[in-house]
Amino acid sequence: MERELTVVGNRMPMLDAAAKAKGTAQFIDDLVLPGMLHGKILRSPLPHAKILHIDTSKAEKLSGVKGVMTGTDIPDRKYGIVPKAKDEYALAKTKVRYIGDEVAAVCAVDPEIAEEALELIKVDYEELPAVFDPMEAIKEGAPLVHADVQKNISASIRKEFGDVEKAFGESDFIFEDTFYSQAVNHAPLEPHGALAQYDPKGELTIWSSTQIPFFLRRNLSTTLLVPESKLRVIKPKVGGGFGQKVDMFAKDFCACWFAMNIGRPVKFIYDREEVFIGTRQRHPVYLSVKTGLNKEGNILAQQFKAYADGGAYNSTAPVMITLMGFFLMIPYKVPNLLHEGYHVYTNKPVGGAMRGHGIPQARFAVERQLDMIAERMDLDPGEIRIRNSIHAGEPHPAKFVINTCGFVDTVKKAAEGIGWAQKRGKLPFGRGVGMAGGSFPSGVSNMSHISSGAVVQLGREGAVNVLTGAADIGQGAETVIGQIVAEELGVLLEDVRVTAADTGITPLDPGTFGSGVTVRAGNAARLAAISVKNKLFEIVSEKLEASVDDLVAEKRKIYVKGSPDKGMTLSDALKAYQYGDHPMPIVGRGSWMAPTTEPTTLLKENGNFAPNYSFMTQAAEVEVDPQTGRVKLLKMAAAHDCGKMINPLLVEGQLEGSVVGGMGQALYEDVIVEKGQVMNPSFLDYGFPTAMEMPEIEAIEVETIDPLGPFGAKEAGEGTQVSPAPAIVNAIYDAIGIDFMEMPVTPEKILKALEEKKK
Amino acid sequence: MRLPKFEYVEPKSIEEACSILSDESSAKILAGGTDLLANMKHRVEVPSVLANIKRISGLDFIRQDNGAIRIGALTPLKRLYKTTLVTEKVPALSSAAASVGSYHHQTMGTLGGNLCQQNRCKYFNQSQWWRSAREPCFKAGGGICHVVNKKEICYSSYCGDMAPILLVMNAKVVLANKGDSREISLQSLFSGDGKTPLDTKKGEILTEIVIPEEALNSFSTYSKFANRESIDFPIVGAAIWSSVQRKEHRVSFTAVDRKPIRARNIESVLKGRDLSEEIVEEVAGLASKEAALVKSSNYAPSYKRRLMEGLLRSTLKEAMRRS
Repeated sequence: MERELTVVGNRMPMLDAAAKAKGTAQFIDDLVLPGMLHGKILRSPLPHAKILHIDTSKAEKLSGVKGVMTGTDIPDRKYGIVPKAKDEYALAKTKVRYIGDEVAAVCAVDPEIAEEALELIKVDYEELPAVFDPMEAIKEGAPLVHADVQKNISASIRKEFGDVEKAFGESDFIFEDTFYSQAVNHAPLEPHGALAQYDPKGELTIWSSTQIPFFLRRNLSTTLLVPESKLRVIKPKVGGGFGQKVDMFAKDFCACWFAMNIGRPVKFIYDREEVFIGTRQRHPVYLSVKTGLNKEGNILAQQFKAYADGGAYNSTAPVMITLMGFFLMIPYKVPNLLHEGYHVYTNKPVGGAMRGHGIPQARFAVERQLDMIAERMDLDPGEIRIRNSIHAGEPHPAKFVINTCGFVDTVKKAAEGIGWAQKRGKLPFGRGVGMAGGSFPSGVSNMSHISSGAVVQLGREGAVNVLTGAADIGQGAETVIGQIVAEELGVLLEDVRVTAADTGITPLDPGTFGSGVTVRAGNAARLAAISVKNKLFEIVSEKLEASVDDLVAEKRKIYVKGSPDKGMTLSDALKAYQYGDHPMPIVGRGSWMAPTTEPTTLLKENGNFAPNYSFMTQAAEVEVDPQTGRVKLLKMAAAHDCGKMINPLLVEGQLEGSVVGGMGQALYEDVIVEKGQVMNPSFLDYGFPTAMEMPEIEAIEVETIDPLGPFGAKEAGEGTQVSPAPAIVNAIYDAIGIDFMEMPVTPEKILKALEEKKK
Repeated sequence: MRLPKFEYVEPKSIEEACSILSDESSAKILAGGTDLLANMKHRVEVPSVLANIKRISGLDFIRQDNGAIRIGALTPLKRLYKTTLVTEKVPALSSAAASVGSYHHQTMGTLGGNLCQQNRCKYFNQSQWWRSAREPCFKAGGGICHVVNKKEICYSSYCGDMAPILLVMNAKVVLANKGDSREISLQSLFSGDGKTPLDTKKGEILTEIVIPEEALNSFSTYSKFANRESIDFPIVGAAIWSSVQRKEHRVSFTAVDRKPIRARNIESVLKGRDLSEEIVEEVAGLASKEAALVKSSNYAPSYKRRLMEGLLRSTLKEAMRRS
């Protein structure tokens, strides 16, 4: 760096923190338009059935009802977030595939009447045999969830790196274990909602709690048969997504459809039960891992097989099983890998992207097995991780390009943070420590053609306006982008206004998924800011009689490098710019996409996957009460190499969130399904950990400066979520000597296992 | 989720409230509402009339009278751990109140309401749409119990936190009916039928809880095991009352049966004996035999059995230490 950073790297509250704390931030539920109607969705009470007939006449006659729609009313266009895997209608056309599948929608003058109208819709079903377990669903003769998908396998992958068979032949030790990772729900605090308005010129505007405004626009366009140019998607404040809001949902489609057909604005808000049952969940996955090692404990080969229970529809299916396999190649050096993954339909709630997107399940299996291997080979779990770490600059077996890698440091620092040397294997019965590693891409560069744009405008008064398509869903994307622009232009964060995520105003952006926002949208915004700065510097350099390359912008001043006295205020510089007859405002544009050779070829040949990769280790200390089976997570030490931290406060927020998610998955959460019916679709019955369950969290910095990230940044979002759960389960082993192969590790399972151990 | 339509009334007296209950067959009493309103949103209770008794004076009190502690039914749970008389004389009642749900439940919820709460079941405490996937169960007006898949009775469980400690103290309750009232043992308030868990007569309203003087000078405690440290109903809750002088030890459980139960068999084994490690071990194994455990929640009966045993062991040991 030519100078000290003054905005990037600072602990700064989010730009909208005060508004959210005061309750003035506007979420979908806060938006009210004149004449607005309220919509509700009728869902199937059956797991698998043909729709014979729907009688909506009584509902239509109910006073206050303004519209009723069913699957027969809508165009015959399927949707899905992955273009190749579209298999869903906003409302079911001929059959329903899970309890919760959307059958009809109504809109009325108030939500109560809309709910009442749902009860008046009579649906005749012919019940079909249903299947609830993926291992049953792939058998010959099992009921088909989608008639055209044989064995219910809607997506599969078989990918080999190196020569696995040969490598197993050369291995001194081979271990094979099977695991199960359960279904959990994202449960963002803000339930899913949408509000649509149609204007007589034929323009449709929708405010949606979405993570990807531009994908939503595309899916709405292809299903409503409205050109994208006539569709505007606006993301207001979004109260969390975690991957659950990447898809289009019936509420988006139906709000638009009603608005177009009735001419009044229509709002849908899901209730909590709908969020649990009718949106998305983390895929439950049966996993088996076979690992071959030499005597020194170096991994020679891994064979990985996964059956994901996808529920009734694809959502991100092909992407999920692909990511799961490819990211077995980080953070450990696996010279030979065979990954087989299957996405299987069942008559159950739908799996989708969830913080880590397939990788937490795989990591659970691998990180658990590594600990078991370490025990069997008498190696320290930390040591076996360090020994197998990939390193920056080394040739990678899958040809990933690893420019920076702080993995070994994260293992060491997390171990130090938890007191590994004093505690592992040395604590009294019931207390234990455990760790797990991980790595994550900062967005994907291959596989899809995604790029971000940004526009930065600097006015005469010194105010900076940034237009970005990036979708802030509570993680702080707008703050991070604001900091990057402020840093580059040498202004304060308070000088920057960020306008984001409005397809009618802001440039294209792939939205919030794959942990790519900071690197992708951050780089685009930085380029736009540089473009503005260059224009201004050209004029300032004449005034100061200095070379453009020697100028520095900092804290609303521009000066010659090394001579802070030789300079001028930004205000004077802008005055000079305008009085020099240069047009105002100064506008800069930037577009960024990760360097890539041949996109979408990864399944056929090896190559780089992401612009850069984060690395992390989390170490847990637990206390297990042998009387009740209760596990108390005492402390989590989280070391994360996310490159340069743009805002350490927000990184810590992500780490804290990951610990809650991890302890939820490891100890508390499970979407319990009985014959296709979710038994615990409420905050009370589902039982997330609360503030009372929070452990001490130590967030540990492991900074590397990445050449591709803005100011050296890498991701700090989804990656944080891959290691906490296995770290906790590994710590339980240290505490009571029992290897749990499935989650959640409930008090019930612990008591049972302790009893069996006694026998 | 929204409330169904209902008529709302504010009776001025208990007599008036009792009349409303007698005259309107599906009228319900509203006190704190923490149980009733959630059930109404789920449409498992759809009263035509809600009679809010919170405006009736004289039902919110805690006092000692001839040795016995008398608590008005409308006393908020929070007050049970904010009132010196209770925290000093019946600390176990205070800690039981502090274990109910969340702070909000303790603020809104009343002692009478907590005792009279509805039974719970994983097939019952669900939305109307959710329940439409199955035949209506007994408790929702149908003719089957999905817990046991039989057409006998409703197997929903009583899950209140306040009943166990009051049961072991041999508490009584006062039921008012128009101008009249009767005092019965708390134990006999509960019917044991999940569908109608309270054995009250038409028009009766619980107005008062009475803790007899004899219960006050011995050790008692309520211990609750729940999924989390806040918010949840007990997976299992256990209370004991132990008198060294009388060599009498009483035990009760909640969330294990269709009503809160007194463990009479265990009590008779303990009768006349001093507590010791050996005796604790002897009776711990008997705990689960006291209850008819069924899968009415997402927790397995085998797990509840282990918890009953564990809670009995730990509470009895606490009694040994403390008395």
